[in-house]
Amino acid sequence: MHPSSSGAASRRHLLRVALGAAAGALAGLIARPAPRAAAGALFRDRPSAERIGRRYLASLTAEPDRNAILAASPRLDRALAAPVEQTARQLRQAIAVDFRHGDVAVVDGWVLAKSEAHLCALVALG
Amino acid sequence: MFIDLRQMPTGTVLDTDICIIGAGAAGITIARQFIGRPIAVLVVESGGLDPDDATQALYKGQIVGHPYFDLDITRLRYFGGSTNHWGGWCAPLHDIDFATRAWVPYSGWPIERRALDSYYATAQTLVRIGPPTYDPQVWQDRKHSFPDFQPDRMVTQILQLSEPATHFGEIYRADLAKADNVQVLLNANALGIDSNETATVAAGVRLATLGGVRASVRAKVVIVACGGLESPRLLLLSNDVAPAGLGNGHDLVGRFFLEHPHIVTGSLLATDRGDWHHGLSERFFKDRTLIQAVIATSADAQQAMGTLGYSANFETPVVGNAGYPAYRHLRDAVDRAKMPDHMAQDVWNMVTGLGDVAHGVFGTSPTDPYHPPYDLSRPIRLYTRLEQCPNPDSRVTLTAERDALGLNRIALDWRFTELDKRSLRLSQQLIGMEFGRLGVGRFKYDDWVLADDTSWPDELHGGHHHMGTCRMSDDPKRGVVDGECRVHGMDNLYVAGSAVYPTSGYVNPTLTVVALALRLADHLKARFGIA
Repeated sequence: MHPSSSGAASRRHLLRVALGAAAGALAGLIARPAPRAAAGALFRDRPSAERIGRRYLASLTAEPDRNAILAASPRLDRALAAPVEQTARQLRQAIAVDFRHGDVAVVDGWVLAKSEAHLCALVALG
Repeated sequence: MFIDLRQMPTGTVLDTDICIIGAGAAGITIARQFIGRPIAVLVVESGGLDPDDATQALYKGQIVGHPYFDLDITRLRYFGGSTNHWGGWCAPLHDIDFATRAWVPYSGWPIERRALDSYYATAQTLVRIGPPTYDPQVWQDRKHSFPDFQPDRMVTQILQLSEPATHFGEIYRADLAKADNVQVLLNANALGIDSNETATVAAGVRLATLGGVRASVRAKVVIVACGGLESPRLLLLSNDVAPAGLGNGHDLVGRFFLEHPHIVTGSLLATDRGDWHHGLSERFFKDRTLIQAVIATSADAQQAMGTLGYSANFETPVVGNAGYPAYRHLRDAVDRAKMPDHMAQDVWNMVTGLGDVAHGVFGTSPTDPYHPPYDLSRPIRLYTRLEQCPNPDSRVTLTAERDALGLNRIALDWRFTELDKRSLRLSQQLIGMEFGRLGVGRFKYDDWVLADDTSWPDELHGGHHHMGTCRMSDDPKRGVVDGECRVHGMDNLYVAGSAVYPTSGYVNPTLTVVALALRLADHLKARFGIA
């Protein structure tokens, strides 16, 4: 009875994206230490993270640029620069602070912490 | 006592102190307040004690705006009124709902919330729910905790459920039947309200049965308590002296129709698969009161974002083929001697879910009721209930079509504003922030919410809450009735019920209908010198 814009396919996509990209970073689903340049490879579901990242980049008015993204997201920058054993915890903290401060981006309908969106953007940039 | 117009001779004239038109929650509540008092009260009810197709058909009308329920379905026209299909959801309005909000056009009640505090407390007993506290801390228990929201953003709104829902016509029928000074006149349709030649005093009410008996009432006070669709209709039809209808000198009667738009608007995908959601996913009993908690934007957030009230309850996915719900469907069908709607599916689910049936039958208690197992691999859907922005173009009008009594039927033109959509969008962003901050999930908008500022899916429907069409304001240019629910410009004509709400908040209206009715009764007691 209740309307749903999400069919089974989009629901699967929703699940993939959330579990793969956002929740992956949040829940410490990181397979190995996270040097900055390799952050994109750490997502469990890299294609979904890339898709979110591409959508986010497309919403930006400026030319996508890795350094600009990191400069715009100092909490993410610090997390990715942290010692590898602290990366997941710092990512979680960065995301929580973003949400607390209202630093969010709506990407493909998802309400994401800016750090999450930027992380996905970095993944998309390769 | 109960009397029936069909048993009276045509031309009967009934004299009374107070004539209440409509025996729903408001009308019955007011009438009961005068039982045993030295005041004669006559309650005029269109229907009888049971539903009747011909009487119900008097409610038929046109839908010319956003799709809505058929007008003869969305309300009930017999003793007890629409409480006969009431869902029982209760909560009082909030302080902010009464305030003039700079960002909400036409907002502001002429009374503050505190003017209703004591009446809300009494109303709680009349609708038979728990104590008048809605602090979520009071209601949570070991199994049902609520999210630790940042209070300037989101709140947990407690709704108490009248369970089973209090049908005023059943519960309070005996009180009225025994009352010597209160008469309930059944099968008496109000054709119009008579007034003096300047339309400043209501003189009485013209009545008719569907069978052709005509009668009239002479009353010192007339109260229109016919609901948010029929009350404006009756005022508009009362146009013998005032061509635009009584109380309609400023073309406000019927305008500002409000509902609570109901629709699924987004999804929350849980990243925490724990039990954090149970307080929002389940109705539960606490101290014998049935509770449903919903999430809502706080007053601070509404002010900061410039939004209307927003609430949503969780539609948390459960294992689809659980056995016990199927067993219950079948058992209820047997109890009611009716064929179940989905018998084959229910039988299959019951047979393949015998363990769940056993858990439901033997492993639960009144204080620990059954809940099906959850499936958080699927998103929690948010079923949203919104406050609407008052809009003069959202309205009830008379049409040329006539009913069996020869009275013009109505057309309902339900409309929305950009603020409604913007409020939804911003409120849901806050939801995303809060559930993200709490680390329990991520929110995703349904696509249509972000599509534009104006469109709404046809699936959006109301809650059978008809409000705003005889709105309250101290200014006759902004309202049909004043702060005492008296029609502006008239000495003794009042409107009771949700028609008088200038704004609606996001909570269900019935508790406030009853509270306002109690307040109006007190006003009338003072007017008659029996306070």
